[in-house]
Amino acid sequence: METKEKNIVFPGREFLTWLWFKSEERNGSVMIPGLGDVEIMFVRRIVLESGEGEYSETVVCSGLHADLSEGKAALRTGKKVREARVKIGVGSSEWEFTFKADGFFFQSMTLPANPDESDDEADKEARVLDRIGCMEKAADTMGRLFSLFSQLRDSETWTATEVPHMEAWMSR
Amino acid sequence: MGFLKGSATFRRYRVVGDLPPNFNNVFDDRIKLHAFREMTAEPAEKNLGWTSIENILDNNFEYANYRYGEFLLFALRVDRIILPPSLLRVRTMEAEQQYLREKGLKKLFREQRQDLRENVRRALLKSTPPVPSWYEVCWAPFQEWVLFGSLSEKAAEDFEKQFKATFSLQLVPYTPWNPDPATTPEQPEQSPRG
Repeated sequence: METKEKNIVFPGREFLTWLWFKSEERNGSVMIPGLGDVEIMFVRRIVLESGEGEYSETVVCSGLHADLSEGKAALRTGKKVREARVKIGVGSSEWEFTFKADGFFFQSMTLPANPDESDDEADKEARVLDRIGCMEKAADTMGRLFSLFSQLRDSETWTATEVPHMEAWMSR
Repeated sequence: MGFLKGSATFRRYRVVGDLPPNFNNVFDDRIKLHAFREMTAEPAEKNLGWTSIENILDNNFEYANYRYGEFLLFALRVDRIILPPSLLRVRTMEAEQQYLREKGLKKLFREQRQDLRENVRRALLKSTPPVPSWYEVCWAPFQEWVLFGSLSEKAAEDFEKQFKATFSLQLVPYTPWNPDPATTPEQPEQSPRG
């Protein structure tokens, strides 16, 4: 990982790489002040990249039962996570989506199951409002996770503790 | 369609600029004014406008059918006529040969060639059906954010321009590492007040 003295060229990729590390630390549970524990899991697909434009090199790891070890090997060569299929859980709600780090984009997001999925016209507005609320909550949770990452990265803890832990994780 | 059912794909924007005091009426007027209209006699390569989120053939927005609680949901429809370059080239060559024959000329000036090419392009636009695309939009006007249901840069560019042209408000792509629109280089245009 880059140290805080260097400017981050791709903050989204740095964040997503850190999030992968956090997803495998403490059973993937991250405490967000004011929100509580957020469960994070990286599933099925992860894309890592170094450089940009014509000089970029990309590694794609995918598979239902992939342990993404090829991805960790790519991290050791300096690549960062550009996009990944991520599952997050807050309380009893669960979202799964492909997160594209460079633009903070969300793709193919499955929302928490709504027991009231009837086609009743009267319930339509409530259903849509619930869906939009769920989409915003997922995006807001990722934003809060980024804030946590950003604060940590600007602190002394980053180089003293976090980077050594991440390097140890990468080499496992 | 992800905002109403199924899995959702979206990017987020911050909205820069003040809402007018009579926002609901202004919104209704503006979205109808910039609604999607079928191409007329002189088709363009691209034709876009707003439609209902539930039915892209509905551009009337009766009973404010864009309103879902505090959110405004609608869609951007973009019709594109895609002319294959090889077709345009061959038809232009045919038109050039015909022009030379009819006029008894041996060669064409550059301007004549350009005019013929433009005439061919217009004729092809009239005879080629457009390919429609549509993208969902969710606007929380009082929370100053917008969700746009496509990750395509081309679609996003069309959306940002159409939004600004319609509502006189600027959209700034949201990322948490640059959350404050005021820090972006481009400043918003003055929005209507009063």
